[in-house]
This record gives sequence, structure tokens and C-alpha cells, in this order.
Amino acid sequence: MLLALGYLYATVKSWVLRVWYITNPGRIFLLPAMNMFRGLRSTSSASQLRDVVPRVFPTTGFTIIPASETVEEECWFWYTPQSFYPVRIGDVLHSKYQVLYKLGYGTTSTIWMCRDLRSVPLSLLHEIS
Amino acid sequence: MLYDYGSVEREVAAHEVLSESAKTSEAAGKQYVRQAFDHFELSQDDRNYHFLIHEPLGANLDFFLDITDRSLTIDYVQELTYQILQALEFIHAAGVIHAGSTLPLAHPIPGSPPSLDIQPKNILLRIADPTVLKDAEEAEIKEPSARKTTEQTVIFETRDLPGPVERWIWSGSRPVLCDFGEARTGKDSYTDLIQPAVYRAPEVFLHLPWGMRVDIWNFGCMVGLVTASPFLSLIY
Repeated sequence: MLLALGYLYATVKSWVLRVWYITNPGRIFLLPAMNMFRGLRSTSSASQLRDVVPRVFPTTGFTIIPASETVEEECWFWYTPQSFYPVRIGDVLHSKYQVLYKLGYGTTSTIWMCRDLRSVPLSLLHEIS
Repeated sequence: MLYDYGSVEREVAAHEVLSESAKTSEAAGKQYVRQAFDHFELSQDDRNYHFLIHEPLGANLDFFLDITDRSLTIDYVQELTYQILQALEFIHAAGVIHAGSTLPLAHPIPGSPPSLDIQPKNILLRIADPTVLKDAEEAEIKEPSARKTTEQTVIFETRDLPGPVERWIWSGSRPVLCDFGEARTGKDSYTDLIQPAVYRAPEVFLHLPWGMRVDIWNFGCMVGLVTASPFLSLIY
């Protein structure tokens, strides 16, 4: 598995982030930390990993869709503005994952491409900066 | 509720079990199952939201069927079948059953949720050319996505990866079994109603206790429908 992850790390550079919403906010799931990620980091020596500065995304120059139109996840008949976490392109979530662009939406989640800012192999830095 | 939407709880629980199992398992099938590399929660206005981190994937098998005009070679179907059976072997060894919701339609009417069973839309193919991801990022900087701003939130338009589709997927893209929103973990047998009727295993129809074998039945039906004539595939 580590081999497969190493491959991912070396070639993909970005991670898909899916945003879930719990219909019952009173229920919180305490999970043991998923150590796969950390296991991966520990396989590379610390000197090869460096934090990346978040990219700046444009704040103007995009098309503004009129309020009268129904856009993407709004088409679900149960949609409310609280149905999905208000992810914005450029946000850094969990101090770690910068949202790069939207990949899609489903019934219970929106799907975004992200970059892990914390543990990018050094060899990738020149491509990102 | 009119529909069973699947749940975050089930998906998170399944990913937790699968990640744990993947650490020690030598099964070839684990490369054909989507895993969560990280999971965290954030609160916003007293609501709690879950986040799962996955590997980026290309497109689903349904899309591949469309662009190939549903003319898959027998070799391709054989290999795909073998790989997904390996995927099922891995999740079953970990005690996870994919199951699937009872929704009747693979191509639901707008506004209704898609089905969560083992079907072409839930089998994704690995990206052929990972540089498309970076290209899409640069495109987002040059031409930011259209969006609608409301008082509470911002709705973005989805960005398509740059084409041609050969950059997303090709006939050698490995399949990955996704969508564990209806997955069951922790028990050997269950009794609730699962699966859309066309893919439903006999024991589920008969209200008998069911277990991991329902996934094999479901997948067998899927292979049958994928390889059947276009006319048959219209039924589902």
C-alpha cells in the first residue's frame, strides 16, 4: 500500500476533497486518526517535505450567475444553504488542504480538488510556485 | 423518507475499516477500492460537516461506456470483472459489504438522488494523464469558475478537466470501486431491504438474512447488463 501511495504522491500532487454534511449535527463521529497519511510522510525523510504557500486565486474576473438561476447542488429538492459546507476556491481547510477547483457534486457531498500544503515532496515545489 | 440517501456515518465507518485493513492486507484487490487518506470535521453555524480525502480519479465506467458506444471487447470486460471481483474480495475480507440503496433508476430524473449500488457510475477509472489536474488548476487562475453568491454561501460551477477525454481515461485505466454510502460493516448478516430491484439478490427479495454474497450477485447483474444489447441496457 505504501508503494501505491508513493506513486500517488509522486504523480498526482493534489487530493480530492469531498465535503460531507451530517443531517443530524448532534451526532459527531470520533474516529481514530487515519495513520495512513502519516505513515506515508514518515517514509520520506523530513528534509524532502516542505510546506507550500497557498496560491492566490482571482477575486474578480468570473461570471456572476444571477440569483434567479438554480446552480448545480441547488437542484436537489431538499437543498438548503446549510446542506453543504460553504467551500470557496482558495480556502485552506483544516490548516492543510487548499481548495483549487470544484470537481462536482453529489447528493450528500460536494467534490473539490485540493492540495495538501503540508507535505509536498520538494521535487514538486518548482511546479507549484 | 421517500428515498434512502445513504449516510455519511456508513461511508466514514466503511472507510475507517478499509484503511485499517489496507495497512496490513496484501490483497491485490485493495488497489481497486477507493480509500480515504484523511478524514476530518469542521463546524459552521452549529452544524457539523465531514471531509474525506481521496485519490483523484478520471471518469466513471458509465462515461467510458458512452464514449466507446457500449462496444467493449470481451478481453476488457473479463479484466474489469476480475479486478472488481478482487476489489470485492478485499472489502469482504475486511468485513465490509457494499450493499446499495433500493433506488430504482440508474439515470434518475433531475433532482432525485443516484443509486449507490455496484453499477457503472460507481466504478471510477484512474486518470490517464495526471497533468490534467495541474492544467485545470492553471485554468482556474486564468479563467475563474462562474459562481452564484447568496447571503449564506457561494455555489460554484464545476470545472471540467481539460480534454481530450484520452487525457482523463483510456482503455488501460484501472477501475476503482467507489461509493460506500450504503456499505455495511461489523456484522455477518442483515435483514433490511437493499439494492435496486434489477440488481437485488434473491435472499433480499425473500426477506432472508443476507450477507456479503449480495455484492457478487449485484456485480454479476451489472456485468450482464453492461455486456447485453443496448436495448436491454435501457431497462436499467
